[in-house]
Amino acid sequence: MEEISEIVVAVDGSDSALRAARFAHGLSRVSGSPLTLLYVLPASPMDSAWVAALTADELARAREEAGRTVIQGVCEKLGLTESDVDGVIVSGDPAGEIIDYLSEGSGRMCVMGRRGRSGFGALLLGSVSDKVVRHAPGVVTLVS
Amino acid sequence: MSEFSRIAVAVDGSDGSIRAARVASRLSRDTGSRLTLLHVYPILPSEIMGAVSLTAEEIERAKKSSAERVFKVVEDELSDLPDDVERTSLLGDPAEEILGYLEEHSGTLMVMGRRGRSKIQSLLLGSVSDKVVRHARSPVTLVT
Repeated sequence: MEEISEIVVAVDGSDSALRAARFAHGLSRVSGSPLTLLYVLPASPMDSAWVAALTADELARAREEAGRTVIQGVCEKLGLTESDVDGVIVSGDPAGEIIDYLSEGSGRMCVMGRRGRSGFGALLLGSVSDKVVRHAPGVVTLVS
Repeated sequence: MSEFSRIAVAVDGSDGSIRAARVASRLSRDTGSRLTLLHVYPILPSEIMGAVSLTAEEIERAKKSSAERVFKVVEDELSDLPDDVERTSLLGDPAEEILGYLEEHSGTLMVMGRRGRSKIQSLLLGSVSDKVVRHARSPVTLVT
């Protein structure tokens, strides 16, 4: 891949993701590629008693609200308005959803923090960024 | 852009490193950052080095000729390398040398292929890019 059509940054409200977003925004500004903030509400079938306890509607609302809050927070800290970026909100396994999003379009470059929210999970299972680096197509940039 | 002022790409002549060089060259143009081609001539484990008894001069010559060959491959494949591209060649363990380079050159975005030349070694020991991603403080872009 030579052309970068879109810069996608995974955001989850962590400081690490904010640094990644700042990096991605800088890259987007100088390269002219549009910036997408991608939020995944973690809802893997394995650990989601809380997901099972919600109706589909409630889950959809939780996803939208959580996503909006995180995306707005990032925009504020970067001095952007939400119209400056594309916000994409999904739920599922974070790594799987990020990889799916990157696979759906060509020329999508992913920017991620090396560490996100999950603590013990990351130690036991390999972090989200590890999985994305191993399995995503195209170009992935990791920011400390 | 404040995040980095230089883009270094690790090249070993493999197809993966050529793809990485294409992305790096593109990013360099998009961001106005200086591009460096970085080649590490891998030193063999000391027992093998001892057994083949190469002199320091012979190793230095091998490094030089390996680097020239690899840079030539990159230049042949990429017609649009910037005129002011830098060429740096190092000797040693590739991951260690790349990490050392990044320590010495702050403000560098490191671009690498996910897989380089070594195959069996990467299965056993973790690949060069794995090590760099885990230990570098600089941003690292991985290209499939």
